Amino acid sequence: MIKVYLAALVLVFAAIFSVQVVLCQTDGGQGASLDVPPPSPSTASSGGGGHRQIDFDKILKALQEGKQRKPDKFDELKKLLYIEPFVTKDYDKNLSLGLSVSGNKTKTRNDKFIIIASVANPNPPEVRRVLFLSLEVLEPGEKEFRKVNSLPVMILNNEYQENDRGQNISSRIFPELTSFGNLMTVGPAVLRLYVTDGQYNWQYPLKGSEDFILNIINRPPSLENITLQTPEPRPRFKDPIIYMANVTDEDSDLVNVTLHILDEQGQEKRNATQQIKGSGPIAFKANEYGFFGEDDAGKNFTYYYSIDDGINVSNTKNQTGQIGPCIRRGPKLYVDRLDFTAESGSHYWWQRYTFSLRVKNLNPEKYDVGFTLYTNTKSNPLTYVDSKTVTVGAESQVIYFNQTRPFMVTDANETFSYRINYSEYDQRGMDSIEDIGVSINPKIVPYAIFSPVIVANLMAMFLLILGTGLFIERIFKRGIEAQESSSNASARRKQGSSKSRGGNFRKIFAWLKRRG
Amino acid sequence: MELLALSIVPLMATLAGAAILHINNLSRVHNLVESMKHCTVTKKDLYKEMTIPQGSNFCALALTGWVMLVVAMAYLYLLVPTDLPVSYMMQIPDIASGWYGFGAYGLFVAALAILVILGLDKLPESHREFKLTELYSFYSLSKRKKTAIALTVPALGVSIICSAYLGTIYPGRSSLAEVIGFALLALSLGLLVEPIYRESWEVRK
Repeated sequence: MIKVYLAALVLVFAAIFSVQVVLCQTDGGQGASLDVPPPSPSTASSGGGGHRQIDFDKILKALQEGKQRKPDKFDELKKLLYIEPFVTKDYDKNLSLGLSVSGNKTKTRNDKFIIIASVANPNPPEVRRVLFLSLEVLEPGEKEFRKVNSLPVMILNNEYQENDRGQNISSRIFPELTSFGNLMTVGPAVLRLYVTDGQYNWQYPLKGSEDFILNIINRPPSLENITLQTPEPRPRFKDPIIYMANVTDEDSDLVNVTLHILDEQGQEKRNATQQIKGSGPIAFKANEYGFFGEDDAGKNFTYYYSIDDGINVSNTKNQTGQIGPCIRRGPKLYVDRLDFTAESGSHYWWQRYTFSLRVKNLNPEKYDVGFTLYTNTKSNPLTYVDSKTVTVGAESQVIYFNQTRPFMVTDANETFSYRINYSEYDQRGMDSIEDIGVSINPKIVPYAIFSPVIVANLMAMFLLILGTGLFIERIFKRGIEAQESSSNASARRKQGSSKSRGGNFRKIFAWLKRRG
Repeated sequence: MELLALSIVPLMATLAGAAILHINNLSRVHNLVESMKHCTVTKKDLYKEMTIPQGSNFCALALTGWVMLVVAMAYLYLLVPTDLPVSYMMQIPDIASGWYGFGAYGLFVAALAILVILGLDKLPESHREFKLTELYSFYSLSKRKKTAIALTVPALGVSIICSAYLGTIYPGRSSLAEVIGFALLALSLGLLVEPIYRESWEVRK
């Protein structure tokens, strides 16, 4: 500080001497000569020219004399030359720090939030330093803090605002931490704020103070509307059996839902797992997973679910109603010789057709089995024809659908196929058998020209048309009116009225006709 | 295009020609009379004077003949599928193949024709040239001609039977039935419009 003061004095005296030299030159310069003779090194002459060198000894002597003789002037000089240092002993290190979070401090893993760091700086702008902020977090289950922001956040000297209490406040947010969605654990998350200006370091909360903690929680998933869908109360093992439920997970986690199927002894027979993100319906189709086989006929099953979102695991064992399916026993059919015959080889659409199927039960028992016949053409796809229930035993029998009329006129000239559905499964594990027929004759009208139907149609038509013609003539009497009209005209002519336009007119007309 | 479908063209041309010539005939007579009389003569009066009585029975048979003509044309060209865009057996096969299909079709066409005829008959007397019921009252017809026109009714009946035969054997074809059906149809049409063409021809001569 003293060096700065002395340097300032030297500069001032140098300036003064320079001015004096110039003044002396101009004052003493009779003849206006600008040549400045250099001053002699040991004399400080004000009236001569020449180069003058700064003599610090003389400056110091002058200052000492000035301090003694004219202390007021000396003080005044000091004030003029005084420059406030940038860092003074008055720099206040007592920054006030703070951390806050949007909303409350209990957060789910998917909740979005904002972390705000605030700084109250008591120093005036010219004294302030740039502050660098870092945020660190200790996540649940971790042992060490990790840095949230890879690059420090800065607060510049002029980025403060005065609040109501006269404090200069600035704040920053940390966009790197807005949720704990990547966490697979729950528990307290501790946050710490570090601030530095390059020389001093601050921390919030202070060591020994209460930590800034966010409580991370998890909302476990749940299952509702647990149902079992079967085509009948006691389905067959291959029937469409569907287990359905609705999953709810408010945290939109990836939830594993496992269906456990238990046999009559309560032992787990089979299980299958599906994943679902968040909430939504799930369905397990028994046929897709192969839950049941032929050996399960006659058995009763139960089931339950277990659900896991990666943090919480629960199950529905304690819930009631998870009963089923009860697989019914049935025959094992053997079907073959699907065939048909037509009334004639012409295969007209209006003819009668007989369809047949040979069937037997591979199991020794006898069962009532339903059989349904369908025909299929392009114009009339899958048309129901007939159905019957037959007791099927171990002996083969042929089932007939006799004298059916399966086709319509729109099926003419089309190839048909036919199918028989049955209420049990056959040796192939299917519940129907199908075959392709022949092309139906394109003839449309089933009657011959001289058949009674056509003859009657045409005769009736002719008679009606003739009768209508006679009737119309009877009503309108065009032939009679024309006769009467003509008769009247003749009568007038006979009266011989030459002035009558009609008489001359008739002559002219007759003349014209002769000319034609 | 099929010959059968094409054969409708001369028939329609003949019909159209007959209509035009008939109107032209009467119009020419009207103009001549007016020019001779050097005064205005109303068509109503002219037609009244021109009327030639043909008799009630003939008029009934002639009307029946015209209706049968329309039915015969519908049977020959619109019953079975041809190159024409419409076909009764294709558009409404369910009815066509029914026990009443053929009769219903013919009666429907006849009813349409009769409605048109009755509608035209409602025109005023000054437009008698458009009335089919009074077509022959403007022409002199001998007894032989009247007999010929009357015989168009059974002839057209046979044509309709031939066309119905074609319908019953479809998709089979019978050239003989087609020829007979067309020939009788054309002959009947010719007989029905002959007086008109003859009148026009005589005038030109």
